[in-house]
Amino acid sequence: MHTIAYFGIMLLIFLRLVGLFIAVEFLRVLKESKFKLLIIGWFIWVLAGFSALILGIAENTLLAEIFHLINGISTSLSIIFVIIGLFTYFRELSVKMLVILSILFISIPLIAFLFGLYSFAYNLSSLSLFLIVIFFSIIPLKERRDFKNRISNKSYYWYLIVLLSFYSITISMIIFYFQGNSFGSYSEDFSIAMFFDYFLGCISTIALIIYSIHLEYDISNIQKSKLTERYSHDLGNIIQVIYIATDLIKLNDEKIKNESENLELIYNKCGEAAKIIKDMRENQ
Amino acid sequence: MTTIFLVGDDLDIMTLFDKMLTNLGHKIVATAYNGEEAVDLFREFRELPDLILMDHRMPKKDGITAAQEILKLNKNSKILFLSADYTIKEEALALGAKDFIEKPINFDKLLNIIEKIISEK
Repeated sequence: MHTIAYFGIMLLIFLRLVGLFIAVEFLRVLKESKFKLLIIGWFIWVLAGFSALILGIAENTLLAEIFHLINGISTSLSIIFVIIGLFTYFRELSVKMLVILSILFISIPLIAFLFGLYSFAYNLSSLSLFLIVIFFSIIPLKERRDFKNRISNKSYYWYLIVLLSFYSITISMIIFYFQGNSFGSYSEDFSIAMFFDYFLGCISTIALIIYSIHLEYDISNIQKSKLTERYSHDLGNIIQVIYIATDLIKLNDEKIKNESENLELIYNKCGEAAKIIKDMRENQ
Repeated sequence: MTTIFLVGDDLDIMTLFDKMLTNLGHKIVATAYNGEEAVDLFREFRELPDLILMDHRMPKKDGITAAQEILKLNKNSKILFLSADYTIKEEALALGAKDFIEKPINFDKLLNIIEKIISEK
């Protein structure tokens, strides 16, 4: 195995493990189901890295082809899970779409492989993963204003870096393919392509990790400020009632006939305020 | 006697404002429980109220939108915003509201502001 490829794969495995660790930590702390998708995605991506390592040292040609296919399919699957996991921050998750995409991404390269079209099978698998990235990037770019309103500028810029690096990998992959190289399996003397591939791979993974952290931070902040706004609004109204009701009681007894009604109102509002404070503590 | 139009969706607050202001010698000409109702009632007024006490967060139409429409109907309307949502203060004042008060507020302070606005020509 070429030194660049070996170190490139090792670095990618390490970065994917970092992504996996962050997703596990998010699930542990925030307990939201969307992190399960990210965990599955990062986990398959780590496995894809190991399959690339085995592929590099496999001496048997057929075994190498099989691991090349496994690498292609697992990378595509992991990207689907990670991208859809990040997408659930903005849209409802369509389980049907996830299942259909997963089946397509496994079955088509597998069928091509069984018909002996080895190179076509893993190139198709690799290409399709970039197509999915492009497909999912269209919606936020198309709905740019709404997307930018929901996240901070920092997240948006990291999102653009993720896109840029993925697009660059796609373009370089197509160029190298037409130069007679398969994605992730360059000839020994084609070290520039190899370097370019792993360098962009590392950049896109780092950008994806940073983007996912910023995204979670943004969404948590938005939720927090919405809750603060809602509770302060409701508490403001309750205290307003208490203020006026108290002022009314202070007024001349002759003018206010039914004081007990106001006292009951004050009592009820105190109960509502206590409930809001309890909610605030539970949602902290 | 000052005529006041109350706009707000919190029934308790509206009822207490009505009681309190009436006790202090003001006249509540109408109460609207959302922005849409406020604009509709405002259109029907033969005699315009001296002051509109306006909340912001309301169903159907919020206070800012209702105030914009009311000021389009009559630019001399005196609108006093009373809301727990302090984020709209700048917007409320920019569109022509006389003042913005953040809830909760002591009634004495509210009365002072009402009297100050009414006395302005």
